[in-house]
Amino acid sequence: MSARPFGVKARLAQELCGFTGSPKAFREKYNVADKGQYHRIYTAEDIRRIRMSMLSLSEDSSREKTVPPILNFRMAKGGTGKTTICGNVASALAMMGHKVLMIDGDPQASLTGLFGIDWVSESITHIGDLMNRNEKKEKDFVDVKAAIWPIYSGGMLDIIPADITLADTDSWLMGATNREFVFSRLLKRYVDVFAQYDVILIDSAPSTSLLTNTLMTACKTLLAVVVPEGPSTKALEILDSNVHELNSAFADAGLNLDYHVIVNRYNQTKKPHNDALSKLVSTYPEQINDTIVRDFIGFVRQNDAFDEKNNGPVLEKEPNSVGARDVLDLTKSLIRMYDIKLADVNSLAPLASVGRAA
Amino acid sequence: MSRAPIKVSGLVASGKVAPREGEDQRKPLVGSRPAAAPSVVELPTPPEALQGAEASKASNESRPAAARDDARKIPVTEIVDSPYQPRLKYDPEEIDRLAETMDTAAHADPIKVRMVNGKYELISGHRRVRAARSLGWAEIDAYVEELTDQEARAKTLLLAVGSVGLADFEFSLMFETALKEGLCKTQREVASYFGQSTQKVSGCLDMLKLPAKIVRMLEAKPDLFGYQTATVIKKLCADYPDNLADIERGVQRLMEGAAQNSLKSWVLQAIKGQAERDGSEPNLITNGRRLIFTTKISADKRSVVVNCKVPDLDISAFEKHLQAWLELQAKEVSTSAPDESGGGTQ
Repeated sequence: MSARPFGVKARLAQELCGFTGSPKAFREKYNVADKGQYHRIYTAEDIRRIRMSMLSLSEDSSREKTVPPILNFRMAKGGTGKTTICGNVASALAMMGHKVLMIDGDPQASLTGLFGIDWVSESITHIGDLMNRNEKKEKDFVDVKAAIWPIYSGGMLDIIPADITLADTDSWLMGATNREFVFSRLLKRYVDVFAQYDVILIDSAPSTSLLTNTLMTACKTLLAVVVPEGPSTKALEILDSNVHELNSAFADAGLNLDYHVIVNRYNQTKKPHNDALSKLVSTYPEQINDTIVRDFIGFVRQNDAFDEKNNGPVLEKEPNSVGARDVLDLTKSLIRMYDIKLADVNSLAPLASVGRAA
Repeated sequence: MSRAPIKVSGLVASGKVAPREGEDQRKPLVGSRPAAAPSVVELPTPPEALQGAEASKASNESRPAAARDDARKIPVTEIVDSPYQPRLKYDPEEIDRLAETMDTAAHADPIKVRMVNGKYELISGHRRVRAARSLGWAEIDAYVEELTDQEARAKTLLLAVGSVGLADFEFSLMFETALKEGLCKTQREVASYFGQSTQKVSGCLDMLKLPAKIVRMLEAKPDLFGYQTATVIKKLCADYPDNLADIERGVQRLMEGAAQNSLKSWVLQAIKGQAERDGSEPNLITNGRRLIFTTKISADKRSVVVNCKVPDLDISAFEKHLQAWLELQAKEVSTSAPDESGGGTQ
């Protein structure tokens, strides 16, 4: 599959680069090849190149050989927007110049579908396959690279997609030794492949299973996406106890999981939403993210009803919408929280004005 | 384009969302979050250059801390105002209030000064020094810093931004200085340097381009009007260049305490009233029974409109007669001052 031809116009590109000069200076200093469109289009690769030169780094500088920060979008309830937020944050991180790897950890494969991959007809090697082969006795070489699909060119946004067969993972995980750390072992063995990314995002399944557990233990802070409504806040309590359980079971192994709450699909005019948010603020004062993602119909338009090929995150389809603004704002807070760097260089400061309502 | 983002903290601050007492609070599982990243791996140490930069930053940060112990008493009489201070007027009531708190609650935050020609030149604390003088203090706590002119200027301007109730006109002088002295190159840079919106910056800079008389009024009373009203005045000046006097009178009204938002309608009213007053009543010329002509001096007072009210008059013959009379007049004009320059018929 070839990469998606996605880019943003000069004005947004300037904002994403954190360039403070005039638009004219930006165009002149950081020109992009004329690709024949009416507007100059800045791809994720272009933005990375520009930001690297703004930080006076050479273009081929890369990270150390360590596993990058991992953002695991996890919630004990379906339909709260894990995939939506994950896909959009991934796109935003890539458009701010980071190299991003997404791992679809949900057998429903909605993240895979969000980026227009038809997982029913395509041949897919999912994360379950990779972990399974890595656990085989022979310790054969697992071709992780072959499982990675490009989304934006230049390795800016890649995905390890999923399909329905990922649901079988639990059946073999049941018998695996130290099964909660199967994923961590894969990361460690193929650190060469994973270290080329600045950040890894995992879209987890809503169920509490061996698969979700092993994906959870590899990161330090989960991202719980919550809709300010009753069933969702209830599910957050379930996730809370799930995390406690894992922490106490693997205290010896040094597991110390935490979670961070992102409020999604909030509507200021709905009183029950405000009530539920009051409850969330009272119960999780330390965990709740300050940025709220508002209810925005563009998030529904992400999935094209007639042609899956036209699917794409809000950031691609409606880059100037309320939804895209909220996503950029949220992404910025996550960069700070997870200390996501650009080729190992701390790069948040120039992004200070990104995401503010224009 | 799009609406401002919604923040949890904002909702709580506005009272829309109220955390309830007595809720069972979940403490963060890992204790309070460390400043470093919650990432799965040991974070790589920053490259050498960056470490160096951070180290120097750290030492920079420790400097003011050290200076804090350094605060010492300096004689109030030896303190002079900064030439870079943008504030033009000090509200005596504000100073009194400040003096009151300084008197009862002691002076908490030392002022900043630098040594120039044996005097202490203020960096920040112009109001506090005035309050101290009004209290009759002989000495005041101060940090004495060593700064070049340029550093002092930058610091004075920056610290003034956070100062209480700086008027828009004072802002505009500040922005102009920043641009003139090369602290910033573009208005956009000025905006981010002082943490103001670009609208405000361009609006404030436009204030200085208002008619000289209005700028003088602002100099006398900087808080006369804000940059938004200035935009209105600028538009009025562009639309009615002949009615500058009316606009100036409108601004004068603000001096006497009229509301800023009444300015535009007042000026427009004045201009309209003027036009009506200027146009004199038409003179009616009748033949005893019927109205034949009307004559009217128009608003600019340099032309006369003659209107023929009867259809059966030969208008071209009338024009010839008028022309002949005007030519006669023109000959006289060559010797005396002009009094009638044009006429029109309809």
